[in-house]
Amino acid sequence: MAEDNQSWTGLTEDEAKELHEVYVSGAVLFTGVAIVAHFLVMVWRPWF
Amino acid sequence: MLSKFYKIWLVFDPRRVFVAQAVFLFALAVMIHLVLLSTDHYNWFDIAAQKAAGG
Repeated sequence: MAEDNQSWTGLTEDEAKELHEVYVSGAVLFTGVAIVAHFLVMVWRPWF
Repeated sequence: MLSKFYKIWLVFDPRRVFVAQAVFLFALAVMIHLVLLSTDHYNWFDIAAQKAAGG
């Protein structure tokens, strides 16, 4: 039984796009927090 | 090039990816904090103790 659609996870293209937008915004938020944290540490105790 | 990256969710099950990533990032964070604690420059417990003693 050849797999007719390309999706191995059962998501449709639209669902994957919608999910990806949320995922990427979460990743951007995570990166933002990390940048702020590193800046604070740099102000506190520079590492170079 | 990145515009088609959403297709990753057609290949990898999002639920498993989310759980795996959460566990991985948490473990990495714990490791990095412990590494920093193992240094003199960034052991914030010792720094606080010295400051309290000297303060």
